This record gives sequence, C-alpha cells and structure tokens, in this order.
Amino acid sequence: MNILISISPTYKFGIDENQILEVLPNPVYTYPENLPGFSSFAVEYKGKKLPVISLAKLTNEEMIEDMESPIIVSEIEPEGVQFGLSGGWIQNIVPAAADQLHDLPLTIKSKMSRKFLWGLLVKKEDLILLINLDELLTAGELRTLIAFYQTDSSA
Amino acid sequence: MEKMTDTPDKERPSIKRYQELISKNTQIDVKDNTEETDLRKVIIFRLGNEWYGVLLKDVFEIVDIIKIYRIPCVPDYIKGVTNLRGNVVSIIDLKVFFGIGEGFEKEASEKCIVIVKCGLLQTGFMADFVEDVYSIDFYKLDAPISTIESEKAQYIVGENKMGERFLTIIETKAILEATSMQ
Repeated sequence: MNILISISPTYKFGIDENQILEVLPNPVYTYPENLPGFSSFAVEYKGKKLPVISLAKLTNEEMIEDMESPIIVSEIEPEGVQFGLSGGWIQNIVPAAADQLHDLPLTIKSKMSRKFLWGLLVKKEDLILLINLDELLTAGELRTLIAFYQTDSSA
Repeated sequence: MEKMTDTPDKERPSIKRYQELISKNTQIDVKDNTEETDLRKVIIFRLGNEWYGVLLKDVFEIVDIIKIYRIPCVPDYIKGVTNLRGNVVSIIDLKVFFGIGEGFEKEASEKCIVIVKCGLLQTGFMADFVEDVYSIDFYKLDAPISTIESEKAQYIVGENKMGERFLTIIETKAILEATSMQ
C-alpha cells in the first residue's frame, strides 16, 4: 500500500493512493450557487464542478488558505460521488508495510466525533493519521453532496 | 506538531529514577495487611498544585514527555497519541478531565507521562512531576471532597492527608473504561 502524505499546520495525514483519482496542483476554482454548506468553493474537473471539502473545517483546525493548497480528487464508494479535498500540502508518497499500520487506540476510536480516521502509520519516530476518504462525510453530508449533483445542471 | 523535547533518552537523568519507582512494585511491604489495614503501593504525582496517586500495579511505565501527535475531533482531555517504541499510546490530560485549573505551580516541574494499563486498556496520564511510591492504607481513605466535579467523583477511590498535602487516589480502571466507551 502506498500512502500520500498531506501536511497541515497541526496534523500529518495519510491517504491510501488507491482512493485518489488525481491531484490538481493548479485547480480552476468555481462558485456554484447551490454549493453544499460544508464547501466554500468547487473546482473544475473533467467538465464537472466538484465541491471541495475543507479538511481544516472538518477538523476544526485553525484555517489555512485552502485555495493555496493542491486539491485531491476522490470518489466516495460505493455511491461513486466525486469531490475535491483541500487543507494540506502534499509532502510525498511513502510505502506502508503491514507492520507499520496500527489501529487507533480505543480511547481515540471511541471518542471521535467524526470517524474518518481508520488507523495510524508509524514510520520510525513519525506518526501519520490515516484518513478513509469514504468516511469523510456524515450520511447527511453525503446526501447533500448527491443532491448537489442532481440539482446543479452545470455540475 | 511540536516536539516537546529533543533530549535523547539515555541522557535524561529522570529515566533511571522512573525505572526505580516502577521496580518498587516487586518489593514487599514491611508491614503485612491485617484486618485493620489495607496497605497498597501508590505512585504519587502532581497535577498543577494538587497531588494524585494511582496504584503502582496499574502503572506500566513512566516516560519523559515525548512527542505527542494531536488527533482531530476528540474531547479536549485527549491530548493525542504518542509513538512509544513502535506502540501507539493515547495520552490523557487529567487536569482537563477532572476540570482542575492550571493554577500557579508553586513547585518545580518535571513533566512526564505515566503509562497505565488495566487488562487490554492502556493510556498515558500527563503529570507535572512524579514524586515517589508510598504505601497507603486504603481503609483510612476519606470520601472525595468538592475539589473534584461531582460527576468525576466516580473516578476517585478516596482522599488522604499526607503531611501538609492532600492526596487524591485515582480509580485508574474506571477512567480507562470511561474514556474507552462510545
């Protein structure tokens, strides 16, 4: 498994490369009227407008300039709904061996208000928080995202 | 993610002291328990200006403050996780958990993490200073007083006066279970 490392001012996140469709280093921003509440802007991607989810907003992190960071394009399974993800600077892609992958401690797993972390990657002294992009949104937010594509004719 | 200390383990004088404290778990009490006494070894540490204790048998290890990685979307009392020689351990700030103010620390600090373990549950408690291991008579413990929020009293075994100090004994298992439940 290869993990893309994305760094924000507070966190070091890791995303399974297989969950990423593309990384847009210089995205074209757009502002559809019916954007979901969890999105501040969208990006053009293969003729579609993809609402961008801000990791900084989801994690209540001190806001960084989302529009300065590259956008990760992903697709939520099994619904097949695409979205963009902002909020970090991409550092590199690293291989992850099975013995470097750890479960979240029960204290963390049981108390998380959002369940988008699936584990931790331990690399020597470093520790990377592994995100499951399929679990990034709540069920309600996912319905809102699906509704966006159904109602936005330009999307 | 800030690194709290860059001093290599082998250079830290506190490491040897922590190992000596933990080794007291294997030493035998001078005075045997009788019907009138219930002596148990307790490791004493300071949070702000208050003194707390946990049963030595529940303490797995004491380590200097090490790099703590913050985790999003968790309660404030969870400071994050640390990589302890390849093992991932969650870190709890008992001052936040118990609602104890930081206050003005009258005494010098030697901040560390007390790793506690009950069954499969394990976590680290942040401490401002670990003092020593004492034998405490649990028959002589008083009920928790009002320094702790009432709903947090369930995590306290009892309190005791040690000289000028007020010592609060923590129910480690109860905290581990409460912080690990959905």
